[in-house]
Amino acid sequence: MPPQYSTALPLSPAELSYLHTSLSFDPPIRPDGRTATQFRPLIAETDVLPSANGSARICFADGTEAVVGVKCEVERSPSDRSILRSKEDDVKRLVTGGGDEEMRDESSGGEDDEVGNGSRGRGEGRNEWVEMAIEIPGYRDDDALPVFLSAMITEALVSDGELKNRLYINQRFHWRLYIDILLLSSPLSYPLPLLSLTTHLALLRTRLPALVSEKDEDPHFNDDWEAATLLYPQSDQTTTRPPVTLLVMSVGDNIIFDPSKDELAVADAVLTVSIGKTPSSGLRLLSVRTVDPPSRLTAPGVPNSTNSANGDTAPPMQEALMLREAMDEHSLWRPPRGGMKRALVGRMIKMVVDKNGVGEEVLEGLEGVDKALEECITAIEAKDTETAKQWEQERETYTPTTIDELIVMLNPINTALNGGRSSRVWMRTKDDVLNLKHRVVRRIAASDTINNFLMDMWAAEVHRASPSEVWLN
Amino acid sequence: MPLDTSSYALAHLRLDGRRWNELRRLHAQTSTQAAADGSSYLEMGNTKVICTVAGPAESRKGGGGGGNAEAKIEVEIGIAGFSGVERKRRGKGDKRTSEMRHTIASAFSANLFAHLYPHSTITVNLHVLSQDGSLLAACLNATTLALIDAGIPMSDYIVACTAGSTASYASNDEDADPLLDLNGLEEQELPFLTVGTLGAGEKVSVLIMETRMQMTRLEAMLAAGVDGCRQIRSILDGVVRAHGKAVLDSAIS
Repeated sequence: MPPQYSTALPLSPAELSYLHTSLSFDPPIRPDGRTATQFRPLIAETDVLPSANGSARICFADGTEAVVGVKCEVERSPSDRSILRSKEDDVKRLVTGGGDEEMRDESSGGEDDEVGNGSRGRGEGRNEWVEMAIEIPGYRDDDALPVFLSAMITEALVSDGELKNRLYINQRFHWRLYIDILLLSSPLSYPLPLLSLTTHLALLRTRLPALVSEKDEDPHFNDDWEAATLLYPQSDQTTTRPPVTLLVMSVGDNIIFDPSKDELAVADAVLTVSIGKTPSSGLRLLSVRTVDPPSRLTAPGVPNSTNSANGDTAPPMQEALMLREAMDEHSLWRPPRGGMKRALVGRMIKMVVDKNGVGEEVLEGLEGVDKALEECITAIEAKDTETAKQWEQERETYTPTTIDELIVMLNPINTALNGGRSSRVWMRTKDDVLNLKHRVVRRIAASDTINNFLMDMWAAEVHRASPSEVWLN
Repeated sequence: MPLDTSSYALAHLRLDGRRWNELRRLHAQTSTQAAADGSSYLEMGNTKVICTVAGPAESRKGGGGGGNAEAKIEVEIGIAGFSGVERKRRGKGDKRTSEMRHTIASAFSANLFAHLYPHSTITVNLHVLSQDGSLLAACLNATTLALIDAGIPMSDYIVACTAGSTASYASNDEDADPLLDLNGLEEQELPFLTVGTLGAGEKVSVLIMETRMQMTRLEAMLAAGVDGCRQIRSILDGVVRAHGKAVLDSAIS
């Protein structure tokens, strides 16, 4: 069996104490030099599976990788629901026509949406129509970890009540959404944020075939895949987006985002925060769950006074315990005890949900994955000659690899090295993104491994001859 | 069905425009996952397989399973629900999957220099992202690349491909051609076999056939398959050498 999550090399009390102390400073000193709200760079791709309705693949900097495929199938609805249908609903549905028309009609703006939501928002969808399966190598399907992760991600997904309504076709049929999540590497660190981000990206790109039949007849769809509509339509009145779950940890008074495995090992408290987007372009908190931090499973340090290896005899058990309790916690590692302060929970949530907070940054970054690709394509189609020529040139010299359209989300770690400018720059201007894309494409042809690639990217950005290896293993 | 169209009789072209002895587009990459000891990604046409290798590592059971003088090879295959046209969740205990796992494990047990790693286990994890024919062949090829990437010594590449026959279609048996590298549609209709060779020569190390056909066709199919394997070996070798060169270049610069 492949090595499991907990059998990784444990850290000694001295190392734990060192990490904990560094993270309790103000500002916290993280092992890889990031700021508290800085995320590690990652590689994100969409539409990697041509046979799925939507798909995405994300690789984190520590090498963990996940692929999510979304497939939809038409299913017959149970017939007893038709008895409960009221006449008023029938009228409303006639007004809005088939299922997807209101989504494609952007000019109708708020009014149609309201009418549409009125008829479809009356609980016509069902949460059972969303089915999720998580596969983690080394774990069976009924082990605790996959079941728990699946429950958490599904809970966030159906909590806004919108998704199920979009799966409704007519009285007799509906879409069944299958979300298959594959973790491709064994879980080196808690896999929830990776899986949640990948699911978000896959759902963002999921398309359903366009409905051409009317009302309650057997559903027929447009054969042309180009006419397919997005499951989460991207109108300007940003309708809800799929949720994202982030891992947030605290050490002392510091709140730290995107913790690496080492940082999790010394956390005082860990929360998973799920956020979604509301139509008024604000962020909404969907769920908060506490995670038992692995630091509670660590062994406490042995103070010199009770250490029998020094040559003295060790004091009896009771006395040793009392001595340990009396010691200053900063001089000796002790696993955290007790719960979290409520104010701390409030602060963590606020940091995620606030305007220009971390949550917004993450969501914008993920949206940008698609935007950059679309901008490249529109540049070519609009005969934007300079960009198109550049792109064509790259295409010629570029041998296709598994990652045909590689989009990299810029990590502000280079801005930190460049003198600590704003750490919130996820997506640069459109030109920068296009330029970076070309550089990215060229480099991938030469270097396949993620580590080499990231080093190249960093070197290109920071203009250094030999990038330092602060945060790469 | 794949050969019912008149285009085969007239121009001897299959549905995707290939001739009888042409392989599908083979694309392979090694070292795709930084977290694994060895990894690879392989595409044979639309069949996409990711392979990760962990090991050699200490055996779980210590003395119990480790009375061997050789490393033990364990294979896990995960066929994703979205891999086919229809979404279908496959359990791990599926008979077809079990047979594939056993085939791959025994093929590599004979080929790897397992005596160099006594009392240890090499774990191979295969993930099938998309299947469109030649699944076992793609799995074998991907495993070879991943094991090479992990640095586990072996005597030569194990390369595999499928070969079929048009015999069921052609009423006139002399016209029956062997076909190389069948896609999903062809596999459903025509008899085919999967052949795996050790290197570019004619040493066959894997031969699996589940469909029925006349004995007289076997030789032609085998010959076509072995020839296809030779082509595949040169492609895979090119991929490995290119990757090695890239690593050396980046290390020197």
